[in-house]
Amino acid sequence: MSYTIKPVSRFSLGLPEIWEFRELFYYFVWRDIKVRYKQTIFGVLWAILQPLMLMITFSFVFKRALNIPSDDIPYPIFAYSGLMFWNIFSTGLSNAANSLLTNSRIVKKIYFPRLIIPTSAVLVSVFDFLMALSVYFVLLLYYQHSVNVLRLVTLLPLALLITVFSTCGMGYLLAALNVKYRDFKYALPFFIQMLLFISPILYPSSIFKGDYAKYAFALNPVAGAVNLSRSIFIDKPIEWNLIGISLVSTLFVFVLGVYFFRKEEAFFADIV
Amino acid sequence: MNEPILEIHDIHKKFKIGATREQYRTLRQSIVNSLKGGGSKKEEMWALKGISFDVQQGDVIGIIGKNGSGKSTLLKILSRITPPTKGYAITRGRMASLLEVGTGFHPELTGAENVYFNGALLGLSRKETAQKFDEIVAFSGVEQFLNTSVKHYSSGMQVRLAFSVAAHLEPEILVIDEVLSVGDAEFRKKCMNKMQEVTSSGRTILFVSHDMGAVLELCNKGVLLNQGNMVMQGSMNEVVDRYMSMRDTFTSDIATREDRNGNGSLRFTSIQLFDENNNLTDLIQTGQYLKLRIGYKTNTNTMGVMFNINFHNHNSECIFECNSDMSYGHINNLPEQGILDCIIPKFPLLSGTYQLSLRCQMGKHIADSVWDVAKLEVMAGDFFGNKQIVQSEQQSVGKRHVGQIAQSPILVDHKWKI
Repeated sequence: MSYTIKPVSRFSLGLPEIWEFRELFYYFVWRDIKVRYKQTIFGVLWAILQPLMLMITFSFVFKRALNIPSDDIPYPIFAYSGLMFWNIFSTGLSNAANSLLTNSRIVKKIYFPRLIIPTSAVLVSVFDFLMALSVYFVLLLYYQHSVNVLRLVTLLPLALLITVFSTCGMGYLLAALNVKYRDFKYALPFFIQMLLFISPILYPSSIFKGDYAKYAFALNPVAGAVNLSRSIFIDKPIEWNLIGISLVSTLFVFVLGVYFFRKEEAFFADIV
Repeated sequence: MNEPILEIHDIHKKFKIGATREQYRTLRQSIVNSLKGGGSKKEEMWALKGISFDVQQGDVIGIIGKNGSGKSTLLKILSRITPPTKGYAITRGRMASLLEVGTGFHPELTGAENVYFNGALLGLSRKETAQKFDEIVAFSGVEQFLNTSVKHYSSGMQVRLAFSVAAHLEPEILVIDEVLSVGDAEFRKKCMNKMQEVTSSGRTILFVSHDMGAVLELCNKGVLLNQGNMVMQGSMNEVVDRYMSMRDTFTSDIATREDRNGNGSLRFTSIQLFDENNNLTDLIQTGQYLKLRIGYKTNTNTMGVMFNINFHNHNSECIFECNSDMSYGHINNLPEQGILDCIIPKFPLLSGTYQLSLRCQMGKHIADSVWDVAKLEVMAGDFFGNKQIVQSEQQSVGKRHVGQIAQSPILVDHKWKI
């Protein structure tokens, strides 16, 4: 095994290398999941409790008090399905963005493909999602709402992929920026909160009339994913062009994130 | 001859001082700088200015040099943590670095979990870690606490566990950056033994350290760096000799120190240490000549003055003192300012780092007392003039034939008649 150490020259994705370090990747995810709920009484239950509590709160505020429409889906299911995906995005993104800083000691001392760090931070929130999914199915059974099963098994995974890839993309971008400029550490919570309001998590996108709103929402990958996941309840044809837009914008965010991250990666150890 | 396992060709590394000195930049500063065309304003610093050498399979190379000479930067480049600015290096083997205490440890994970995670970080596969798990744990001596979170460990236990994982790596090239200076004496000895074992198994090692004793004991070849340049490469003994001869002139200015006691009728102003060739130094060998030159100022008619130089260890325990009352008698009528020399013909302490403190008394009153005015590093040396290097018991492992082992920290010249 021979390797040449030389100044950084050209851009590459470095997938073979990540494959070479797959075991370390596995251990990072394993460690982050283990650590996440250490020294808690409820442990992994928190992955379920968080969206559940939020769903109950929002059901009171938005349904009881404000009577927000929910596309004829029972509001708890409606809100919960949105919050599940939203949680991947919000916790995944904020963990990924800070991941290089929290692991700075390792970054400064050991070589491995740095993409592993933010990716594992996002995968932890996917783990939370899988826990939360069980409650989702319980809710479906409880409300006895009719479901298009074909769509459930195809579109739900697609929605998950869109969410994960767009979260990773933004996570890479912010993680790399965060190493250079700590401004992003402060801007991020604000940004996430803002995004919650402009995504159709707690209200249906149909609340806005007209096509512009539809396309604008589709550009936001999280909105696209949430709408996709809700289409399993609605007996309307799927608007493939909207899914296409979401996929393209996801791809764009992902490529941008990877590109920027790889470009900065070599110097993380110098400036983190 | 085989191809070298590691070839280093003209490695340069440039740092932008702004980026290294400040913790991090803010976006605003960057924008403002780029608007001002600030690219030209950045100060540049070459941490490495063209380092080239080859490492052969089985070499144990000690890399020494003063702080800031570029040792750690070189290791960072070789372990691929940071890229060189110019030049290249070819490695022909798996490389792993021994880490500082618990770098890869997560405080919330248990000892056992950390062993696996750390193993993965250092490049062990899960299978390899599982195979060596018992051995690693036994070596560290923390068996009882394997299922306890590492945050409840003492720092000594953490070091032991971390070292154990690293010591059981089997990379072709092992990189060690100043890690042995931690841990208690017993474990240190264990580490050195393990290192000896690793070296004798034909592994290639790059070792950065300030501990000349350890370097001399472990390494067969040495590289000396100074301000980013390679000064010399050769056998470890030659390199250490050269390093000692080029140590910075060492003068400590103590005139301005505030943290002192005494009524101020006399003030110490400086202290300098000289070796037998009258060169300034802060590094000597056990058994060598040492001259201490003390500068002072006084504003009173001096009567019954006593000077005292105190040598103490890192725990601030006094090991011995040079007291002018005992060896000279009362000193009277000193000039207003001047220097005094105190000579120790045969330095009696074993290898280690010692601190010096000064005290001056006039009659019953303390005139001046300053702690930690100078640091003295002592290397193992030949004290009795019988070509035997005397080591302290804690530091000595392996290679016993080169010297003698002492149990007390201080040596007294003596002779036997048999």
